[in-house]
Parts: sequence; structure tokens; C-alpha cells
Amino acid sequence: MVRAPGSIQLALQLQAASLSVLWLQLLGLSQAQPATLVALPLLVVLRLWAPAPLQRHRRLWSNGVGLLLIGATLATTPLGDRSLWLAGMANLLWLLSGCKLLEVERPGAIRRSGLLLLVAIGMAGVFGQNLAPSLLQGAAALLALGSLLGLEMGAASRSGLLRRLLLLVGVSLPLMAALFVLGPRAVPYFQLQGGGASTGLSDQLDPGSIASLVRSDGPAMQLRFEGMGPPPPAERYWRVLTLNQFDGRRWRASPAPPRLAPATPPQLAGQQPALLVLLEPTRLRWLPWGGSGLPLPATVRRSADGGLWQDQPVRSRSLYRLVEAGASAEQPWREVPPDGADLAIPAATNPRLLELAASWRQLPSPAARVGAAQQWFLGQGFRYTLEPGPLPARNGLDVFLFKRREGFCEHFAAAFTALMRAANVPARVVVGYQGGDWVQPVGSGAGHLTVTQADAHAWSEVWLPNRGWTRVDPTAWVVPSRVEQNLYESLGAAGSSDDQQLLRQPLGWLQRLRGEWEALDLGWNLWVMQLDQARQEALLRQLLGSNASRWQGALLIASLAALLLAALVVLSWLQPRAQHQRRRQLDRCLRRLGVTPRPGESLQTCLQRLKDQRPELVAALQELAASYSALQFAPQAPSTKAIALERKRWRRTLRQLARAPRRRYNPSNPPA
Amino acid sequence: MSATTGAQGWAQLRDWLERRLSRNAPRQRLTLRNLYILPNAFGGLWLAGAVVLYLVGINTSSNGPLLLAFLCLGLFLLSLFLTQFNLQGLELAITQPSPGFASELVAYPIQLHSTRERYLVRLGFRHQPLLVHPLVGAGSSQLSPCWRPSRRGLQPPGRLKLYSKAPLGLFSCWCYWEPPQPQLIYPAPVPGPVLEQWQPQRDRAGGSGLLQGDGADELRELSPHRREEGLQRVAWKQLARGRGWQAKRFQAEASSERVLAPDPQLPLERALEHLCARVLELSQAAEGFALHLPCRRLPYGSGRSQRDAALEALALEGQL
Repeated sequence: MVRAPGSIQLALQLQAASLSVLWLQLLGLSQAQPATLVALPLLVVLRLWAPAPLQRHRRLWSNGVGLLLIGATLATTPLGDRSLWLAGMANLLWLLSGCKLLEVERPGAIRRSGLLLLVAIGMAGVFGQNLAPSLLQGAAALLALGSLLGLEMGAASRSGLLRRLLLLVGVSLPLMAALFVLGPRAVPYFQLQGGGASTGLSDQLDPGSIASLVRSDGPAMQLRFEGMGPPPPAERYWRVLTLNQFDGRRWRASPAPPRLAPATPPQLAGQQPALLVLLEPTRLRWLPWGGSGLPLPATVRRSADGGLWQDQPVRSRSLYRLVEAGASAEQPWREVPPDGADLAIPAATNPRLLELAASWRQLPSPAARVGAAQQWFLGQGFRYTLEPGPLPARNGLDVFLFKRREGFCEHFAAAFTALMRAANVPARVVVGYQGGDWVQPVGSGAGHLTVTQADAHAWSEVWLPNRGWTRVDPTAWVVPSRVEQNLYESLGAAGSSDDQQLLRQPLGWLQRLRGEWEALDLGWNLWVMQLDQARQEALLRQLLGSNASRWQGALLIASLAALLLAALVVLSWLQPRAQHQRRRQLDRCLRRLGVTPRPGESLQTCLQRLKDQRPELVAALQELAASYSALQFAPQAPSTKAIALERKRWRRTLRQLARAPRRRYNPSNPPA
Repeated sequence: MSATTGAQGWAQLRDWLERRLSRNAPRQRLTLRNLYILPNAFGGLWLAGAVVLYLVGINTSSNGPLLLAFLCLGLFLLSLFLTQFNLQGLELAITQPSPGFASELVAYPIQLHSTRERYLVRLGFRHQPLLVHPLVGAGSSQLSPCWRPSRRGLQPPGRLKLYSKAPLGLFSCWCYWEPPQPQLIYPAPVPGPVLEQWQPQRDRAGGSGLLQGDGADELRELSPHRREEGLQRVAWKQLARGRGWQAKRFQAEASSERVLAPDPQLPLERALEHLCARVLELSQAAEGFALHLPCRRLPYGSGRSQRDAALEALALEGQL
């Protein structure tokens, strides 16, 4: 078998490059096991630079290495947990594709290895869905496809291969898009959860838990406002959890199942203003929201205590929307009256706190008691800091309020809520996010609000008889800038510039750049990554009207056919280089005049035959031959001006010959 | 009864297929009518891979695998056409093949005409090794797939299959063509006994008075001495006169011609193979010979043209 010697080597190099890019992407994934991350580059190195003695028994030892790695992965994969199981299988697949690459030598096997690589890249797409990982996955897939193409391209150069690859993938992207938008989406028959949260809010409020969370600076969510503007900074409270159980030290959510409002009917997803939330994975079933709007999809429901509840923990990135439709602007959860649990406070702890609160009990209205508390907080000279130090387990709030007088938002919220309960005002702690950075990308219109874990916050809600549940943020009394600006600024304003060092605050232009990237990322996520069945249907309804589903199949087939045709036309246009094109023009012209070049015949002899038949064309034909030779076979590159002139002459001669009458019938020279 | 009709039907189908597949025009243009295309095993695997990616995407509600699955499907659809177009419009033509020996690999050149470049083309005769040609350039080019003829004579190389899997190896597109130009195949050269006789020059026509070996002693001429001839033939007189090393040629040897004929003890085909080897051997040594075969006779001669004529006679013995 004779094959271009370089093509196999080139295919292997391309696959090794593809695996390396995949590895780069895996570096950013929490699901990639250390064994995978270490083994993959080793496998690539062994593939490309195995020492000679190893080359000889490649099959044998690569199978050995593969079995070892697979065994190690299986041994460390917990088979019970579904999400971890999926990650384990993905690790297995990544390793397998590396091992396969190590052993292949023949074209057929290299082809199969390329396919395995593509599936492995797809598996990485389950876990890394943001723009940057997606771009890396795309690059890896491109390289893997390039290896397959290289096997069949023969002796083509690398640049020729690259050009051909980009062309091929470029013309099949519209096909992919058509299938993506119009193609059928099967209903998942078993749910595999991709991601998993590394940081985030938890369902109880320990003193100090938020202070450590805000340092992680991971993304929390992105919000886009459709048909309405963003709320002013002081109103950007995104509630997640309502904590109403207090044991004297920490606040917890009620263990009872939440009372849920009925699901929102899906037809509401129309033209009403809505808030789109793209949420990063969390460990909770509670989703952030502003407190108003009707949630969609129907799996997300409002609860009686002002939460947004989903029956599955949000293990992978997910998108939901809150439709602001007329009546929903009301916030029915504010009207749900408190019960005894909202006043419960253990009598044996924090005696000084109880004593202080008791002094406010004689005030006539709950609002007045809140006012008294505000006065008290303002008068005590509290300090806002990220590192207040641990509080003692016994009477911790007393120590905070009367001794140390420095704390973070959870200390203020916990202490204030406890004070209110002791003063006989129903109160609870709310945990969520406050603030967010408004990102307005250059050029494209829609901005969005980016909320990170650094925006985690805790505040209180008190029940006022004629206003219902009302938000009170004691942190804002102590450091107003926390609410109006952000945590970083507020730490500076509170004189805790040492604490600022604990936060990662990127430079200005870097932050701007990050904003731009985030906007792109959000667009990618909203329009590509989160296009699920429901959104696909909504999109089709928008495009095609109400009976979209009836035409979906026909439309898919028609658009596939049209796009295939377009792709083929584009490919055949782009295929011939200028030289071939000129040759084809020449052939066409000669054929029209009545001669077909014979195999091995020179242009001169061919033209001579023609001149014998058509003496009237001699001058034009000489011109044609001279121009063709000058353009195709110029001994050295003439100036661009000379080339342009020559091209002009070529076109002019062609036109002139095209006007000549077609050849007359001449039995002595039958067309070949 | 039904089994017989079944067998007949099968035979009919095979005949029809043979007729359909054996196109033997001297020039064959590959068009929609004579190109066949089917997804190959890797194409099937590719689709299975796309289905796996689709299921993973659906079940994990992640669109990355879904996009990749759709890209794979799009490339599959596209390469159906591209594979076909890689061969469509190609023109195959016969040329004059040079002769070869039986049971050796013989190149059978084929002329290809193309108006544009074609990627990796594989071609081979039925049950014969495959030739993989990396890139067929625009214009005319010649490819020489090999085959191993089993018999001597004017042999057709059989059915040529030309196929391509470009661009991604998902489909195989192929065509069949039987080049009508047969190739002259000499018998396989196998050393062995041949009937070797000496015939006096004057009796060439008569065919009687055969002499074996060099018995007569009448000196006829001198020729330059070769070391193999030994010292007995050295013309010492001439050497002593300073005319250099000469060898004596005697009348009987010089006036008789070597005549090769098949050994009658052996089957004809085997005997022809031995003759073939002997002819090659003699031509190598630049010695002349005549060839007497049952159906044809080759007069005495030597040199390349004699060798070719002899080999051709051996190839065609009994066939024309």
C-alpha cells in the first residue's frame, strides 16, 4: 500500500494536539480527576516521542497502561451517586481516548481514534458550558476532524489542509444550526446531572459563613432585564433563603416542606417584561429572585415564605425567567401572616440581648421598635469588617453586640432579628445576594447584571401589621455604602482597608474586559447553551406562528436540503484556484470554438488545429495564447500593475472570442 | 423444486450483476450512472457516535454535546456528496501496457483525465493488491495498479475497482471498469530442462543431420578469447605473433545454431516455463538461438529483439 508517508504522521500529530487542547479545557473542570489531568499529557508525550525500544511493542504496553489507568479510574469512581458516576464515566472516556491514541498505527484505527476523541470532547461539553470552554472544545474538535481529513487529503500541504478543513466545517455550520434550532429534542429518559457547586450559600447561617464566602469571588448568577430597566442599586436584593429557626447561635431554614403556589402556566412566556436569570450551579433547591414576578419554567415555584423553589438541586447552570405580568407585580408572600415560629427565641441564651429588647417592648408599634433598634445600632459605633474573629458558642450575640461591636452582615442581621423577636416583633433572616455589577458591553445593546459570590448578603424581614413582611437591612445602617456601592468600596468606607486586601479586586481595564467577555458568555449561554425544548418551542412559535410543530419536520428537511445545496455550491466556487479557473475558461472557450485539447497536447498545437479551421480568428487566438502563457507561466513575478494589465488583456480576448460565431460542422474534426 | 428456481434466480441475478458491472469501453467517464456509494463501517460508527453524543446532550440537558452531534450529522450529509464528487467526472482510458511475466506483479497503466484535483484515490484489480494514490492532479496522469497474472498469453487484467473515501472516510464511492486492452503475459521463468540442439547452418531448412556438441576440428575463424573458454582453445600461434589472446572457432560449432525446443518429457506449460528461463539466460549471455515450438518457429537470432520475439512466441504458443 502506497500512502503519502507524512499523512499518517500528520494525522497523529493533529490528534495529539486535539487531546492537548481537550486537556487544557479539563484543567478548568472540577469533575476532571487528578489521575486524568496527569495521565493525558503523559500519553500525548509518549505518543509523539516514545523512545525506540518502546516503539517496538507499542500495542502491548499501551494496552497495559490503558488497563492500569482504567482500573484506577474505576476504583476511585463512586458508583452510587449519579452525578459523580457521570463524571467518572467521562474521566474514563477521556483516558480511553488518550490510550487509544497511544496504540494506533494504521489509518483505520487512527480514524476510529479520531471519532473516540470527538465523543470525549462532547463529554467535556457536558461539564464546561461557558464560552471559553466551548471555544476550547471547538478547537479540539476541529483538530480531530483535521486528522480525519488529513488521512484522505493525501499529499496536501498543512496550509491546504487547514484551508480545506475550515471550508468544510464552515459550510457544515449552517447545517448544524438548522438541526439545532429545528431538530427534534427527545425527552430525557433519565436525568444525568452534569455539574456541582463548589461554593455558594448554604441552608443555615453560621456566624462567619458569608464572610468566608465573599472571598471566593466565584460567579453566582447573571440577570438580564427584558422590557424593563434594572432596579436602582439600593433595591438590588436577590433573596434566596428565608431562615426562621433560631437556636441562640445559628439561624436555619424550616425543615418542613415549603408551601408552594401553583405553577405558572407556560403560555405566559410572551411579550411581557421579564427578568432572565442564568444561575450557576448551587447546592440548594432555592433560587435567587427579586421577590416579584411569575417564575417559568413550571418546575420553578414560589413558596409562602417568599422563596423560589425547584424540586431538584441546581447542579448545572440553569436558566429561568420571572415574568412581570400585571397582577404578579404584587408580592403575595408579603401578605402571609406570621406564626408562632417567627417569634420564637430561646430564653436561656444572650441575656443582655433579651434585656435590651425587653426595654423596647413598651413602645406602641412594631415600626417604633424597629426605629429604636436603628437608633441603638447607629449610636454604638459598630465596625464593619470581614474578620471579626469567631464568636463564642455561648451567648455569641451578646459578645458581638455589647463587647466586640465589629462584624459582617450576617452578624448584624442575626443580632437584629433576634432583638426584634425578643421585642415581640415577628422577624426572620433572609440570605441571598445584594447588588451586582451592571455590565454594558460596547456595541451590542443589552446590558446585564453580574452577581458574584462576593455579593452574598444577609438581611432581616419584620412583620409590620399594615405593611406585611418588610425588609430591614441593619448592615445598611452601619455602612450605607455596602448597599449603594459594593462590598469592596464599603470596606474602604468603613475604614477596614486591611480587609480590602482579602478580596480580589481586579484592575479597572481588566474588569472592563471581563465585563465584555461576560456579556459574550451570557449571550452564548442564553442563545446557545440554554436553548432547551421549551425555549426551542417558544422560538419556533415566534418564528412560525402557533402551528409551528406541524411544520417543524418539513421545515427541517427543506432547510437541510437548501443548506446542503448552498454548501456544495460554495465549496465548488471556492475549490478551483485562480490558475485552474483560467484553465477552465480556456477549455470552455476552445470547446465553444470547436476544439478539445487532446491529452498531452500543447496549447500551441491545439491552437494550430483551430487556426487551420478558423483562419479569421488567428489574431485573437495568438493574443489568447500569449496572455495565457504570461499569466500562468511567468518566469518571475512581474509587478502587480503588469499582472493587472495582463488580466485585463485576458478577459478582453476571452470576450472577443466569445462573440465569434460557434464552429461550423466539420466532419474532419469530430468533437472528442 | 423451489430450491431449483431459487438457485436459478440467484444465478440470473448474478449474471445480471456481472453484465451490469462489466463495462469495458476503452474510455470510461465516471458519472452518476456508474458510480456506487454507500456508507462504510466507519460511517456507521460515526453515526453511532453522533447518536451517543445526542443522547448524552439530551439526558444531561447540555447543548455542547448536542451541537457536536449535529455537526457530525451535518458533516455526514455533506460528505455523501463530496465523496461522490471526488470521483465524478474523472475519465479512465486504456494505454498500451508493456508485457510482464506470469505469477509476478505486473503493472497495468491506466490513463486518468481530470479537470480538477482529486483526493486520495484507491484502485486495484479484483483479488489483486490495492494502489493508493494520494492526489490526482488536474490534467492527465497515469496510474499503474499491479496484478499477478496466473497464466501466460494475452490476458485481460480483470475488473478494476476504483474507489475513494475522501474527505472524511465516512462513505465509500466506487466504480467498476474492465479495461478491454489485454496485456501480453510471458510464461513464468522457471529454470529446468529444455531440449537444446545444434543445427548446421546449411541444413537450417532441411532439419536433418543434427550435431551434438563440438566434434569437428576444422578451424574456421578466430574470435577474442574469453576466460571461460579455458586454455585449450587459445590460438597460441597468433598469441606468439603478438596478435593478442584469440580463441579458435571450429567449423562444426560455428556453422551450427542453437535450437531451443520444449522438453517432450514434460507437460507443455511446464516446458514453456523452462524455455522462458533459458531464453532469458541466453539473452543475458548475448548468445543467439532459434526457437522451435509445436505451433511456431522462430529463426535464429540474438539480441534484445530476438529475446522479445522469443518470449512473445512462448506467451502466445497455442493460443492464436
